[in-house]
Amino acid sequence: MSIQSARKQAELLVASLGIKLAPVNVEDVAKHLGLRIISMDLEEGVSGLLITKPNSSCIVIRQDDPAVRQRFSIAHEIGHFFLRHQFESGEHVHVDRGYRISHRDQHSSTGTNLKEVEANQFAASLLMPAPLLMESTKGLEIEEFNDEHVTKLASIFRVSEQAMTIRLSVLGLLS
Amino acid sequence: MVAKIETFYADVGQLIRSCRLRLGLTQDQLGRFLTPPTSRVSVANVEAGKQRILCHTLVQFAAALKVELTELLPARKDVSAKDDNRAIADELVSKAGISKTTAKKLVENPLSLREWKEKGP
Repeated sequence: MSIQSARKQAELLVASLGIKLAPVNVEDVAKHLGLRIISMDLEEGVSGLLITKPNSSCIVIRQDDPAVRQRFSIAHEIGHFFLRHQFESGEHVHVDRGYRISHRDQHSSTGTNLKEVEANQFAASLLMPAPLLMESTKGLEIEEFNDEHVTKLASIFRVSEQAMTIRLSVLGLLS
Repeated sequence: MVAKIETFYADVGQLIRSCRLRLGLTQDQLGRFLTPPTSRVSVANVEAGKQRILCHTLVQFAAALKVELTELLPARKDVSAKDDNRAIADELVSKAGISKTTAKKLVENPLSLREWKEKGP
């Protein structure tokens, strides 16, 4: 599994579910995969959990996080599930604590971090699929991106401005 | 007993469905990988657990979906569910700092907890 492939898998999933409009409904995506999402009081710093159980896996997110953050956390956990990340054998619970978003990270070569990077790239592609993003930028008739455009696109896709900025850079739309 | 058998096939169907989606295949495309080729409706019935899949067909499904046969088989609920639940609850307590009571609820009766909903249109 590579970062490129993680991105591609997310976009294939979006396409196979027939999602053509932003924002991508992560609740629907999770349901399609048989994942239940539970919102509860988690300790500070824990952004999401993935509980893998035969036939009844679920995602737990922090109820106090802002909605855009929750959506990213859910998409990130869907990534771990969909890409079948196995952390340790016999492990059922994976805990995510304020993961790094950058994929150019000095730690990214280690196994666990690579999985986090893949899950982040999967999440970004799931929430901001390239075809949908291209469509929206066309609609805005942008010649050169400025902060206002990023804010607008972030609100269309219901993601943070930070996540949108990174995604636009990855797609080569922002220099 | 009948209900249990039905749940089993529904579980197999769910596993097939998630493997298929992971590959980005349609039900129609998956059906065409089988010998003899199977219609989209038939694949849909298998995924919904409405049709009891034959043993050799399951092997073909595994090959088409590029997974091991065992990945399409549900875990044995009878023997392992209780032990599994206890192990998961312990993991939740030790790794995520969740209280014992909540951890137990989370694994045994997640329906009692608040489900997250996507807001707005």
